[in-house]
Amino acid sequence: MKLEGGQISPGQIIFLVISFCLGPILLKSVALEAGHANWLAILLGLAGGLLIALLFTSLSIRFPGRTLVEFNEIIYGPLLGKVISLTYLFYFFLLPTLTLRLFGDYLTGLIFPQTPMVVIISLIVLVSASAVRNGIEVIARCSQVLLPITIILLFLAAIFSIPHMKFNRFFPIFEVPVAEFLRVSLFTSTFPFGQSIAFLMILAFIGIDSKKVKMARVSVMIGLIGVGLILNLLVLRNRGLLGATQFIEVYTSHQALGLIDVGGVLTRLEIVVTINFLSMGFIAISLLYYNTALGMAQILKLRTYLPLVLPIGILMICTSITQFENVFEYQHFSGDITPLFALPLQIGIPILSLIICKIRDLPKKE
Amino acid sequence: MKIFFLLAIFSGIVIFEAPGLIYRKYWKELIVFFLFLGFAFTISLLAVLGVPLPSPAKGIETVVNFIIKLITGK
Amino acid sequence: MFNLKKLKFLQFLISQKPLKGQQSDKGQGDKRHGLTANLKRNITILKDNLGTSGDIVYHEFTMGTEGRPDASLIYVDGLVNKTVINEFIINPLMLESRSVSEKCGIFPNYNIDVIKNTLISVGGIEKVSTFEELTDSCLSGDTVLLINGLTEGLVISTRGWQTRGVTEPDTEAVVRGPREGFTETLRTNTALIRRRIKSTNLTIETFTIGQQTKTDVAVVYIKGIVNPGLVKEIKKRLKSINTDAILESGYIEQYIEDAPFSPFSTIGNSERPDSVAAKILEGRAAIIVDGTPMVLTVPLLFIESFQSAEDYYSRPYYVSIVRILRFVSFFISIFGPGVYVALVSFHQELIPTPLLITFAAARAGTPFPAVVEAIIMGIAFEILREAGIRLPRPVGTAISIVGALVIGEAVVSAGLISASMVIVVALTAIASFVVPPQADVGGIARVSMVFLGGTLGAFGLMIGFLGGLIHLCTLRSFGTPYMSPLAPLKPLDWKDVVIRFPLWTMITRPSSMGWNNPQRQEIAMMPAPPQDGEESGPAQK
Repeated sequence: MKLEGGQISPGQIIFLVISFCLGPILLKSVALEAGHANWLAILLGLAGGLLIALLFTSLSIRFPGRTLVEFNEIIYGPLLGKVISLTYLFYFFLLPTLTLRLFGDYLTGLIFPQTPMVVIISLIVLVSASAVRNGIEVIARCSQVLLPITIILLFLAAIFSIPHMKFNRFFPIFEVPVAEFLRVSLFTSTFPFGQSIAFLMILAFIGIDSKKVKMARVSVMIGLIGVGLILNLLVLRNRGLLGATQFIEVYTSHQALGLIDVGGVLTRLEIVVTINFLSMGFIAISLLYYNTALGMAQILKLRTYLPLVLPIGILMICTSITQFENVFEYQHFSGDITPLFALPLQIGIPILSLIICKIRDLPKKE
Repeated sequence: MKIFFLLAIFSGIVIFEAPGLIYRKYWKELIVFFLFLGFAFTISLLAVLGVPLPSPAKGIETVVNFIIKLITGK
Repeated sequence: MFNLKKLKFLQFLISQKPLKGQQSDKGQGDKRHGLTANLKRNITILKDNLGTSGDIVYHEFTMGTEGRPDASLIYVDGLVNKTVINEFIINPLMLESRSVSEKCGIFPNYNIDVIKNTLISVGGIEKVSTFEELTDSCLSGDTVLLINGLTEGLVISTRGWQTRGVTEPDTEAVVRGPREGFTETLRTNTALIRRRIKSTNLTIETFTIGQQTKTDVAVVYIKGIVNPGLVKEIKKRLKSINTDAILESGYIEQYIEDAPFSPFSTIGNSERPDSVAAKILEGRAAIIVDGTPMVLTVPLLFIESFQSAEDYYSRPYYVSIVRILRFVSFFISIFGPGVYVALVSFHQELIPTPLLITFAAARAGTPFPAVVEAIIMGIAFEILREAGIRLPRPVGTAISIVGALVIGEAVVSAGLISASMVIVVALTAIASFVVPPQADVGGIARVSMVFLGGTLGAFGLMIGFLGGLIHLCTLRSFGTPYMSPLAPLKPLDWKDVVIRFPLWTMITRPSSMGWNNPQRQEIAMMPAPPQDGEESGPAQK
């Protein structure tokens, strides 16, 4: 019984990976704890992310046409497999609530002070729900329209910000201890790069053609490299515009673009950040939302995942609003705790799965 | 007022989803749907009433901290 | 996915009887019977079937010598070409048959084949033996010949009624290109296409739809280029139509479209034979309905709204600019007022300061918030447009004067609506005329964007945009994704999206159509002047 009739192409995977990874982070500079070396930390994180991607795509190549939930049950048996899948689903459920909360805090804090946060979050969830109900094909197509718009806007913003940059803001190049630098790099490789483990649910819809499945691995890699490059563009732009003040800002990109002024006509381009963040965040949220609903339906062996979509959405709204009391709690959690929670899911369990597959010689031929 | 609004939303969802499931005789899906919806309703009702809810983030934080302590032995 | 088919069990509320039984009017029982050898009896049954309407002519006469056999011609006055009947049917049958029968002895040993093959000099004669076929062909303008003593009748093609000539269509006007437009007659329309595509592969399949109207519907495609699955799907959908009347292609459209609840149309229509021919040549199929010049083409892509027949006749540079203009206009026509409202109510910081002062000065003293202004002006514009279309032309100019004076001038000077809002609405209105196929979407989308922009600013607009995008990405037109080749991305098809590449680069047909025959021309076709040393024609020394 197929839950999802759609099929996506390796080309669409590239778009999805880039949009998905950019989604939650367009608002801020990444890896700021690494100080001025954060661009290096991003590149190192990218290398780590590529390793993670190699790891999990070898799982998807081993089980073409099967999602994470399905092959977990083959590897670990029905009961343990379900428990592990549930852990993954919990992670997939938690990530979008973090992004949603970021949205809520950002929009209520800076742009619409009078609007209640629940309205904003509910609207985003509603739009995502309508995408999720229409299946993976629609999410992929939306990313194909939204990603080019985002990249064009990012490049324009970068070009317009060149006159406002000061070269000396890029120094010193390396000021943090190496251990701290490595920690930040590791965290960067788990977030944003490593969260592409969510594609274990998506790569199944490439089909079972082995050539296409192998191409999908390359697509994920290309996508991650693209994310790394765009992130570097982003942090260098913010660095050049803000200098040291970027360490005290909460929404770095927003502040940075606020400084842009092109001949008195194009001023205060913060809205560009909102648009980019919203369009990419929408893809990221929809994808994880889709994973959660689909995975839950597969665990429960349902014939359709559609009735789960709206209840899960409401749970997402409630969780994202109630789980933190303020922005700083959120920052602490997303910066320091989530990577540690994600590490075993992104590296530990895939390695374990691969070892078990090797030992038990899975998947068995029928 | 808020509770009434909440009830309206949830009954809207039921009206939206349930007829299709009944028509296709997807009873298992219907049960799961109502279980999930009931859970979501409870949570959102508590949230609307202002009852402090356990945050999954806090739970994870405790677990992670515990494991770190276990490993580093501090 | 709310599907109306789920509600089929409610059908008993509407009618107890199944639909087919509704049409059993009197005499239908005899219809399936064959003809008898008795002419009088045949005529009685026929009169019973066709009724005694005044426009049906029963012309009785005798053939051959000695006043036998009796024969009868039945036709619908007004649908037939009288000259043909008089000169090529009645004349040979009544007059020439006498001389022929004396020489060759046709009568009294006459049979239907002899009459068909030797006497009647009209192209297109068929033998029929049931009343159903007789009545059907009679009502579509053919003439029926019944002869006493024969159990078969002849149907003679004499169709010829008053038609509008082939004229230049009012919609889709072009500066460069053919001036012909489709007419209301199916045959003329198929001929207009056949004249452009003189290929043996051009296939025209005809169906009859509508229990009462019995409208002819033709599906036109090119074998070998079209995706066979598409033709199968079209036929399946056409055959599933079981209604009493098809009066215009819009009826067909609403019965077979993929997304009946979507504001976007998933079936294209055109009045121009050249653009329909071009679409058929790209692998689409056309559906021509008798009685209307609007020809349907499927599948429809979103980007087709931005293409015009003239794009391919003119050279590519200006066309590409115009294409971009069309995209921008479509964007303005939907987001214009919404963006303005969002800007003045939420994001004043985005407006450059001098402009902001102008806006503020214009808005000072106006009584309504920007959202209300936008909605009022939007409604006023729609009213004006509707009034301008329906009224006779001379009154239409009066309407536009009143509209321009009252809306444009008085409202602003009275301080009811700000001048900048009038400008925005006027710009939006003009922009919405640039892309006519999507004009009816504009109205709905505009209002929702104003509402979203007025309540939630840029965030609301983004939500509206995303919602619209999801909807567009969901749509399919006969299996083809509506947003193709934008999403799913088909790089090969981008030669005809934003920039119209030169014709000699358009080597493949659009892959969105699911071709089975991609290449349409030679690869190296770039025109180039002859190089030195090559043989060249009229070069001047």
